[in-house]
Amino acid sequence: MLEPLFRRHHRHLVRTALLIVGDRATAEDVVQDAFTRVHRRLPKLTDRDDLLPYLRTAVVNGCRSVLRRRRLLLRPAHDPSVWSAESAAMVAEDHREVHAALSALPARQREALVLRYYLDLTEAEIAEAMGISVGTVKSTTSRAMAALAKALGGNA
Amino acid sequence: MNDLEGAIREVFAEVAEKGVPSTSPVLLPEPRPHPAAARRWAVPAAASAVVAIIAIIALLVVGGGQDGNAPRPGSVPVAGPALASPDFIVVARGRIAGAQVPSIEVRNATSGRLVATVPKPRAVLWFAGVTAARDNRIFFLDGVLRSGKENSHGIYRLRLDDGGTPKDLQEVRLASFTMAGFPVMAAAPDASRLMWTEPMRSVLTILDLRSGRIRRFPTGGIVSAIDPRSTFDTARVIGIPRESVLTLSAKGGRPHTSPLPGGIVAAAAFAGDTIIAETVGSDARRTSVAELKDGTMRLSTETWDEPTGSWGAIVPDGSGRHVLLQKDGNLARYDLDTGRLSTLPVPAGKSAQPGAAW
Repeated sequence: MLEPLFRRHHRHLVRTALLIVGDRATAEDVVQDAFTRVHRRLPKLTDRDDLLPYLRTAVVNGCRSVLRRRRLLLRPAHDPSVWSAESAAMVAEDHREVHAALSALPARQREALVLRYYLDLTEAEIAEAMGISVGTVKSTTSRAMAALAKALGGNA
Repeated sequence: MNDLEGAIREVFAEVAEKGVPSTSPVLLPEPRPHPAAARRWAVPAAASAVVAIIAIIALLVVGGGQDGNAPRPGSVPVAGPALASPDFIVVARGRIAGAQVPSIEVRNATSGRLVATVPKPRAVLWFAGVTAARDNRIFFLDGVLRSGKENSHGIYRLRLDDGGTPKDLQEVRLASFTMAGFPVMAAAPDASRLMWTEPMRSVLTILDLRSGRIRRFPTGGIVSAIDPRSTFDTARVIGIPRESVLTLSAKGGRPHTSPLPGGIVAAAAFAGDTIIAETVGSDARRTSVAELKDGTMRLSTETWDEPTGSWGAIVPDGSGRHVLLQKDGNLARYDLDTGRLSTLPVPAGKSAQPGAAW
């Protein structure tokens, strides 16, 4: 049941996790954990025809766990973060300011933006994936956009 | 969409693409080599006279439930097509009390003839296990180290040329570890990854030999056998021993479980798409667990009439057609097609480990 889902969405989910946790190896681990968790919960899941939301939520939760452990210095990243200053060199020159502004955002705000602008989720879907209310999604996204606009000085 | 939103989308897309390029391989399951259909586990009557297994052992195995802690994969190299019979066997010997410890031996897989002896590195006290990477004649050896902490192990990589002559023996420096007992090892077909489980611990370690990255994953129970894609472990669920195949490369952690009536697994090995397991229980039996195309697992059990000894250890020869085993102190090869057991003229001794072969 999960294998078609894996084939279709694995790469995209790894990329999503990468944008949140910052490094590919950790992102792969997180996504693998997510598939495993969903697999284990299959008998209890009500909507087995659409497992993607469960997976997304599991990925987001997994990313948060990783970031929490990193804050507690329990688990360092495998590789340099894609949001590090060094990694800015890998994006096109005209994107580097935006990259720097995104990298300065608090993890939760960047997470909301990833779900909104990379996965193209609706606010309701973001709320489900992040386990927060739609109102909190709106305020988090709004604060993130304001911070970005301020950092970019209206250049974007 | 305003400019800022557009810029955010572009940066996310660019970072994601650079971080996980579209050209990078998707981590899909490695196709398991399927022996010809005719070879699939048809056990002739002759086999009855051959194999044996037995002893009643109380169910000692593993507490705790099988909750599907599926291992997670690293990237899985594409499997090579090779299914030919092996040319060489590498025999790693255990310590023989009071005697000089022999070196590693490379022998002809058919005749048992000694092809070469590999000098033992000074740091190694003795070799305790070996596994083969099937595509390129690379073998990995588990060496018990002379120096360092007690029970310190080092992994060595041995390469053979076409004639079976060892070309070099190098320590894989990233893979030293300390443990009690000897690991169950397996190597990816292209020798890019090495994986092992520690005895009596439900942990699978995967070492990426290219990056040096080590990952450890819980398994469902005590692992009896691993191949590059799967682990075969035993766990007890509500007091009932079950054999569980956790498929590494399914990426969704697809565990197949099946009850094994009346026994626990003493030794096991993957042979193609089949798992050969020596079970210890009230009956002599051999168990085959086949992974089918639809992802389900079929389990069949064969019982033999003349138990004459224990296999002791089982090693697949990589072709999916034979397993090497230690039987009554001799090395032997068991043909899965014919059920024929042929003793290899290899002086095994009590402590010899059946070697990996390719």
